[in-house]
Amino acid sequence: MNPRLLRDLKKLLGADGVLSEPEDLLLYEYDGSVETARPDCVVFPRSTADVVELFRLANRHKTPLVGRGAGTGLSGGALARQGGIITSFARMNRILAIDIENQRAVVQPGVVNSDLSAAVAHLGLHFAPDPSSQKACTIGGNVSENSGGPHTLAYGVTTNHVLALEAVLGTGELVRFGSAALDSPGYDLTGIFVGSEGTFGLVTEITVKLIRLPEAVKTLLAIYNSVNDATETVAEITARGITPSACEMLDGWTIRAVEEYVHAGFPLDATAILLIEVDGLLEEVEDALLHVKEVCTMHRAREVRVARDERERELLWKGRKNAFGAVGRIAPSYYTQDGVIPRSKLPATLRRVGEVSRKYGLQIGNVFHAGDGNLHPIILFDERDERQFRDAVRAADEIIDFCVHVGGAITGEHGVGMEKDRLMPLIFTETDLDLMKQVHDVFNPAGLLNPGKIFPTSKGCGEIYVRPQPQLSSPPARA
Amino acid sequence: MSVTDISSRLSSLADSKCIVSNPIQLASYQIDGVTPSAALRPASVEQIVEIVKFAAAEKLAIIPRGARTKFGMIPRPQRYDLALDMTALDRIVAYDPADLTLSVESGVPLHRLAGVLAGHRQFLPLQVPFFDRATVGGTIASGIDSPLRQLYGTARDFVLGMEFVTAAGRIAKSGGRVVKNVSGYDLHKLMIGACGTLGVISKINFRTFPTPATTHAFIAFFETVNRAAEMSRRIAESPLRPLNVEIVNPAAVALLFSAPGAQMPRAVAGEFPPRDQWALIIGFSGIAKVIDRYERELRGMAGDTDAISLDEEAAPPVLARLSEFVSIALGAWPEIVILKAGMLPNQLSPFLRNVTSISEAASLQLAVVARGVGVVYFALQPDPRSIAALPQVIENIFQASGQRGGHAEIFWRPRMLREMPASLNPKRPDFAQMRNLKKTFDPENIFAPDAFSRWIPDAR
Ligand SMILES: Cc1cc2nc3c(=O)[nH]c(=O)nc-3n(C[C@H](O)[C@H](O)[C@H](O)COP(=O)(O)OP(=O)(O)OC[C@H]3O[C@@H](n4cnc5c(N)ncnc54)[C@H](O)[C@@H]3O)c2cc1C
Repeated sequence: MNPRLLRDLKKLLGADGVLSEPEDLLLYEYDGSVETARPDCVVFPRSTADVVELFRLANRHKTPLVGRGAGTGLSGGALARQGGIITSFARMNRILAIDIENQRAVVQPGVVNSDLSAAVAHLGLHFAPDPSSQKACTIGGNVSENSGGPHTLAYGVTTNHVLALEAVLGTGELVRFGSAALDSPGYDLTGIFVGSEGTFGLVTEITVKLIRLPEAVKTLLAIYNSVNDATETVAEITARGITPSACEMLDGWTIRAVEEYVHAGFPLDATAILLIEVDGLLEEVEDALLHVKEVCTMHRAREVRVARDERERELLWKGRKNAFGAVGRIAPSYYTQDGVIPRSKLPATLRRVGEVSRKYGLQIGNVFHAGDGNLHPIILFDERDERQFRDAVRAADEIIDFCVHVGGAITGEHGVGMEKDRLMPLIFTETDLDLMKQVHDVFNPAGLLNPGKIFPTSKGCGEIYVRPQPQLSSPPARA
Repeated sequence: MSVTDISSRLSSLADSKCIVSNPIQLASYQIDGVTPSAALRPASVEQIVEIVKFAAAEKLAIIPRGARTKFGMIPRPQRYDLALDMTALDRIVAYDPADLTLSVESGVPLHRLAGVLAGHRQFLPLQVPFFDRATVGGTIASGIDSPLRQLYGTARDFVLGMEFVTAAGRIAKSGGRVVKNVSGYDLHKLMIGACGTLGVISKINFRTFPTPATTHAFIAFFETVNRAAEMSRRIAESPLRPLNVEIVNPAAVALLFSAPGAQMPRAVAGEFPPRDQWALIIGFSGIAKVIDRYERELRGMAGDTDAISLDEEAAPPVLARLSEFVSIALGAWPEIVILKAGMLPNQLSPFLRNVTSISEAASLQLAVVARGVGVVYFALQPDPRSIAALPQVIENIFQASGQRGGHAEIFWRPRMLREMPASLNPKRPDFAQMRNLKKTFDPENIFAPDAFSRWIPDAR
């Protein structure tokens, strides 16, 4: 990389604020997705002022800047697709203010999602968006991806909880959008910014709502001998207007992978389970639980267990939230997909996923936010086998195609990034994309921030990037 | 171009059925005495495209209109060539009760939509002013909120996607029809509350909600705003999740509940409202046990003050009146200004005291409805003596809100203010980006040019 830029960066951030040795950069070639890209260097700003200055330097050298939280993203968002500087927010990880009375918090972008909830739990509050990766992912990442989580069903996604942002735009301006008080006048700039995947600005401060923890919570495990019965249960719960706070599904293969790793108490011989939670006032919860149980039984759940205490409840959730980790233990590589469909189409869509799995001879596990209609088929493949990798991507595309066909969309929460840019035309016309590009250019006119994301590139549809051997998991070279 | 030119050009390009030529009808599109050169009532999105292309080529200003209930939100237009009446686009495009999703054209009247949804025991939490007349599109474009936001949020929380016509005369969309979606930028978030300045909204997708079991209400009366705000705070700290929590000042209590048109159910009419009291109005719903719980806890919080419980018969009309505060105030006090403020909840009480003394000092009548979440509507009525002081009063209120970490804007202008410099609203640091967005969406400034100046003074 440009030695002058590197020198300037070190001058700004100190030698320990910049990584540029190839072996140090390795980790930053990856995020949670199957994509890779090599940055020129990684920097660690400590303050908003650092980020402003960082942008100035990058701009002077016309070098791309890519924000990075914890790198758990699943669409290659935090990868430097066109090289350049990765800006890690790992050192901007302070909770700046907690306003108990108004139920607000002001955080730096590098604050880990679950750390915020932990910091306010004693006040009876929490930060509601709870991605399954919440113990690692950052609120800056959540804002950029507009992340969801199991409890999105009742509490909404990140955008519903963000009130204001401070960011350095791709114009170099330091701006504040929104305010701690509701309804700031004029256009909803916070609304358009959240979910812009790091392509509008680098977020340096976030004001969020904190939500009161419910008085009562009940978690129920419904066990099925058929995937269809489980998906029909979900469709029926939705149709009856019952709103659980979470409704997650795992299929048999995933259950076994999880059990082996977490011992959550999931039955090994089940074909599907639903993890359903209801919360609210004690009186409401009792009533809702009855209704949910009734629907489960009606749809042939062979057993419905209600967690008896907090320990049992946490164990069930541990099983759910560690599902990807569990899969990672047994499969050399997997590709997590993220499609979204109208909930009444769940049974048909899961049947289709099964067909695709058989067609390509690839194992596909399913663990997902069923209540939202947000699928996460996990496609297993061996990446040493180029054909398998190609088939995995084809299988994923076929599933997404089906989602779109039944009225859904290409991503429910993981973002477009560099994974689904080529799929954008499945749901958006040239006019839609042109306008989005123009809005992009308002915030990021020179395209210096996170280039090569979201918008379809010239890369043809049949052409698929094949990930090189993952050096991380290969045995260390002999000294 | 002259009016006749415009009409003849329009008749050659648009279906003649969609042109309003009758002068009496045309006059009904007047805004503050300004009549558009033509009014068009397209019946399809393709017709909107044609009209917009024509307007763009000729640099004619278009003001999209729904049921024409909210003209008072924008300053007197300096440019108003074409009224685009959206009420013929009134189809429910798709409704999937089992998925709780809905797609409608923007001219659908809210009350008709509510009827259709009620058939499936569902609803949209858009309990907004002018409910019986307003269209979905006008409601979303004006970004007006409702008391139900306490539980359900605002349009940005339940609009799933949109289709709209751009200033280049192209049909664009964003979002989709699923409840969770991060595909592409959320352009529709910009359209909500943009007052038609960025594009013509043709279709809106919503998530719908199951209608809650019976709705009840509780009203507690207090001598002071402090005590009302204190109870509102205690509710926020409790596990209760009410539908709405509103602090209402004595003048607004009178407007809402003792005015001639109030028609309160008899059970209620006998008991209230007491004079010169602030009211805290809480709506809630649930099964019988839950209702009991709310009543018990709310009574406890209210302490020894006067309070009444409204059952499922009595509560809905009272809550409906509450949600009509803006329209009721406008009906009762013709020449008023309505301000809207956003305030942190713990600043509500001192802020309301501030504003009360500011308006008393200027001899203005003041009616207030403050949502517990921190959104306040003030209706200020000047008399002939105090009218001159109005701009200063507004300025003082802006200052008071800024000093307390909030913000305020003119929500509804009286005629006298509509003539005044485009906007008195305070400058915000994010105006530059708003202006750039407006330029991007609408380079020739043809879409409701004066509505944009509501926020940004030098934009005309
Ligand atoms: C096991 C596992 C489970 C997951 N479960 C869920 C789930 O339930 N729901 C869900 O929605 N997602 C889930 N994810 C995906 C991922 O965790 C989320 O997208 C998360 O929000 C990413 O946060 P991060 O800090 O890791 O961001 P990164 O991956 O580092 O970055 C994500 C994007 O944000 C941008 N970015 C980060 N910080 C900033 C900043 N300060 N300014 C500007 N741009 C920035 C990056 O450029 C990138 O585009 C899961 C991932 C894994 C690995």
